[in-house]
Amino acid sequence: MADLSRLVPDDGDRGQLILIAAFILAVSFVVLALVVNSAIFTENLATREDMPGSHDALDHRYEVEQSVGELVMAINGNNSDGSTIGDIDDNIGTQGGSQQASLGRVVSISHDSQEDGLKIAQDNFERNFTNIDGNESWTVAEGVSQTRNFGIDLNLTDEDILDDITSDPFTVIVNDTDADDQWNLSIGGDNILNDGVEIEVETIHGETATCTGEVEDNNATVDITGATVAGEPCHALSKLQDDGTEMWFGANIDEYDIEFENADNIEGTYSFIISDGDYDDDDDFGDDEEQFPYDDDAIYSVTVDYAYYTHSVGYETQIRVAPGEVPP
Amino acid sequence: MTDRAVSVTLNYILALAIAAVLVTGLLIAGGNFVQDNRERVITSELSVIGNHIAGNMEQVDRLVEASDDGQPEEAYISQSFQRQVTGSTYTVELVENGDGPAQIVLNSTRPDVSVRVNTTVNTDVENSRADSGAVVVRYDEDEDALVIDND
Repeated sequence: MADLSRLVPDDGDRGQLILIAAFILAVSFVVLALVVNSAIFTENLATREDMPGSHDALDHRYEVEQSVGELVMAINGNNSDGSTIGDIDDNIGTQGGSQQASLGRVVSISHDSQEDGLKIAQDNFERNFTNIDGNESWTVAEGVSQTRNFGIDLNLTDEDILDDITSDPFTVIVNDTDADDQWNLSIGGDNILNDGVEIEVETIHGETATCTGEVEDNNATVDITGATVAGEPCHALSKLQDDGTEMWFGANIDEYDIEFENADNIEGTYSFIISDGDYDDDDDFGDDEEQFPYDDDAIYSVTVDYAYYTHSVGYETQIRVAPGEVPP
Repeated sequence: MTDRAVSVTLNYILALAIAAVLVTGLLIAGGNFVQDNRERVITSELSVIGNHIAGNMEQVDRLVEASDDGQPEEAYISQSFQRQVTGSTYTVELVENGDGPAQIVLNSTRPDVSVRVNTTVNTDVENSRADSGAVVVRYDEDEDALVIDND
């Protein structure tokens, strides 16, 4: 038996099969380690956030929109010369730009164009809403397609000034110039100190909705285009919850006249800006802006060029700013 | 009695054969195991990349939708990804899908693995492709659609 084992020369060549197999398996395990490594990297990649700056492009756009909107409202509120709006480049553009630059972004804001409008207002808090001649029903503006920032500040020192909503309350009528359609807003109230001021809106389709606002310090504010009464949201001026009926100022009317009715049953100030159209009759307004209703040149909207760049995000667009505008 | 030594040789050969079969089986099983895992990792890696690109698509879509006329002069997001997934290069294709949501199709070259990721955007989508690496999702003003490329 001892001779048999010498049939195979013992020169160290034995066991190649196992050796080679072990080598190949070792290589596969190394590859497996690499694959597992890739899997770990995938987990890492999956938990990474979105590209930095992709959200900020819109955030900063919103800030610019708000800033320019405030600027436009300030210029219109002071009845200032609208041509100064070109200074946006210096004011918002440069300041905002250097602020963003410190965050590693390149932002450029520049004034592109503007749409001139007309501001119609009354600043005398002690006066009713009649025209200069005292007419309680009069057409305030004609051929208007867009209105923004329509606000009324009610003077309720005389708590009986408002008429009951069911009788002859002050009404803003938006009268379609092409068809026999009307959008109405009535402001009334019987016992306003307890029940508050009542707002009733009727659309061209005949839907009506009401809401009330509390009187504070003999005062109540109705922001018609902003859809608030005494600072509280008013669904009668926005959208109904039932089926989304559009209730806002001049909803579903393309071109309209704005009329006041029973304008002696209200007292306070009002102001709004129209994009085009004209006032009905110059005789309705007065030159003394502190006493009588007046009209003045105003900025309806401003368009600014907005550019935002980071190493990975680029965004360039125009922003149209018309603060307090209702949907078209 | 002269046949006695044959059984020893036979025994030896049989043992060798059985060992060879076992070792081969081990190698095949091990190889397949590694290959399966590689494909699985490539699939998950491609789907992660695809989802990142889909996220960028939706973000660019938001940028486009936010501009007043829905046509910004420029809107893009560029993101760098690894050139290879587990040792294989890949391509990214943006495929418009009729009424259904647009899809991002990622194909690795070797082994051949394909992953589809849906992306829901309001803006139109133009069929386009990009290679592995930095993938840019941009709004193409001429086509009024979203495309991807490598610029």
